[in-house]
Amino acid sequence: MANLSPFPTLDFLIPEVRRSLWRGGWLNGAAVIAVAVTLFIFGWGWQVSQLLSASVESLGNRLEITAYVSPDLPTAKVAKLREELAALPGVADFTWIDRDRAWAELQANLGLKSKQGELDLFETNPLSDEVKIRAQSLEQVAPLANQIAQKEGIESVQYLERALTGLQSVQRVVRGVTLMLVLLLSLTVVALVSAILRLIILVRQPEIEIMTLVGATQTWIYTPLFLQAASLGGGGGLLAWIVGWVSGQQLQQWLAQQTSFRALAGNASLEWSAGLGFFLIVIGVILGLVSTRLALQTTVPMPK
Amino acid sequence: MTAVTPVVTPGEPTSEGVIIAELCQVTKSFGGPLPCLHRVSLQLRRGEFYFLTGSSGSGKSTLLKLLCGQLQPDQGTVRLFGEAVNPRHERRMAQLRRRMGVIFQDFKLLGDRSVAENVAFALLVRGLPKAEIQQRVQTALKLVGLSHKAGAYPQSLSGGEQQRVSIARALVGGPELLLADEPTGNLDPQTSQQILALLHRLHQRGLTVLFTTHDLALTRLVSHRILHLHHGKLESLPHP
Ligand SMILES: Nc1ncnc2c1ncn2[C@@H]1O[C@H](COP(=O)(O)OP(=O)(O)OP(=O)(O)O)[C@@H](O)[C@H]1O
Ligand SMILES: [Mg+2]
Repeated sequence: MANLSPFPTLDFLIPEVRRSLWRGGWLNGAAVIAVAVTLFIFGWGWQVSQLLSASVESLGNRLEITAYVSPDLPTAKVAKLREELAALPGVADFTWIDRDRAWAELQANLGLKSKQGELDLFETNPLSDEVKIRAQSLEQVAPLANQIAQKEGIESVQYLERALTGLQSVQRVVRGVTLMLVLLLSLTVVALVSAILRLIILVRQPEIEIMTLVGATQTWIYTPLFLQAASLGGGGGLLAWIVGWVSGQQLQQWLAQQTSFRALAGNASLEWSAGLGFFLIVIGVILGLVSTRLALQTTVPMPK
Repeated sequence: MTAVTPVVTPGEPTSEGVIIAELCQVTKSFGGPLPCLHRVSLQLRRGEFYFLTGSSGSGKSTLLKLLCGQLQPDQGTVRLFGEAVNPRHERRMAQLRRRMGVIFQDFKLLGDRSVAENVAFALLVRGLPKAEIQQRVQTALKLVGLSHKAGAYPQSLSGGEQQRVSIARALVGGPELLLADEPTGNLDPQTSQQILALLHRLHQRGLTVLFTTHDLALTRLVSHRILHLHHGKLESLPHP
């Protein structure tokens, strides 16, 4: 009988955890809600950050620099300019739009057919050659545009940088604030849950003493506590996900009616995915386990 | 004192047994002017039955608590089953504890568990299979005459019944060494004698027993070695 399983059997664990949960009473609820609030905020921070990413992405597709070539540039230099532009670092895509073709297309689009005898709006082609260049990343847009502007023969450069970097910095702020908030709340939650567990341990001290005296190892004595905390944390994660899912649905429905939102984020979804739910539960469980570890470190008395 | 007829025939004490538990020059103080136990040495040999007597407050319970690792000595060492006890090796300690049964003076029953669950608890934490636990618990409760109270809760039991639950729990694991702290303290003379007879029978089957009591009449019922605590010192009394 001396050398038996070092790990608690289910026969032992299930009733113990159930009993401990039952006796914890409203303290359990407090722990679950604390974890849930933290993870709810984390979940929304995550969602908003994802949404902003999607927005940046969808704008990013339209992210290009348009450079207008001076119409007075001699043809020989035009060829050189093309080569130089194409060779710039950070260029993902490069399209040269010939002014003659552009003019023809524009005229066709606008129905400004220049037929003889009709009034020509423009006597000559008013367009210049146009270069559309896509940068490899958002960070490269501004420097690339600067470089292009300095090339000989470039008349002007246009790009959509400001709105995008604005959006990106919003995303960064959202991420940062979420992270800070979640860190702070996690610390609070760990402190709270471990205080609750300490209380449970103190209440159970006589029982723990008896368990020790009849030959239970610490692993056996404290595994139910770890499981209890893990299930409270997991429960908090689940609760956060359920509330998040419902609120996400509601918000999604409301936003669907807001045209500005559709324009900004396209078909980005606010729905809390099952993956996010799983993630929240895992974080909840981890918070619970960390809290137990902390509670034990500060409570378990060494034998006198 | 009225003469009590012995309920069991005295066993032959043999001093040949292996030392199963040992205190070596153990001193334990609780901060008072005099230590509770002062340089006490004691050797319990396998297969023996010892009475431990002494007036109230003489340190009987303290001595038992030192033996089962519930207390640590200020000085000196405790050896169990040939091994020096180190409270920091909690796994090892747990294994040593599984080889002994302790009847606590204050019972140490769990109030939110039934009698059967209290007894089963000692086996549950050792990871025994359910069926075996059930069987052993039944036997143990029968031994102490509490089968009919298996489902009752400690609060609803008399002091003597609680004591017998504590006895059943100490015996249920089939210990090699039984430390019994006033196991008859709350029992009427008749039940006391029954419990003594039970422990004596188990002793005859090989159980080593340390039996604490201040009821000297009990020590006269069976002829066993008597250890006496007095002023923090251990004396060996002659057989009555
Ligand atoms: N945890 C403790 N803290 C302080 N003093 C203690 C503690 N445990 C025991 N003592 C003291 O040690 C002395 C011996 O106590 P112990 O319980 O061992 O006596 P005992 O012989 O078992 O008495 P009784 O026959 O009444 O059970 C007592 O004076 C008691 O007050
Ligand atoms: Mg005592």
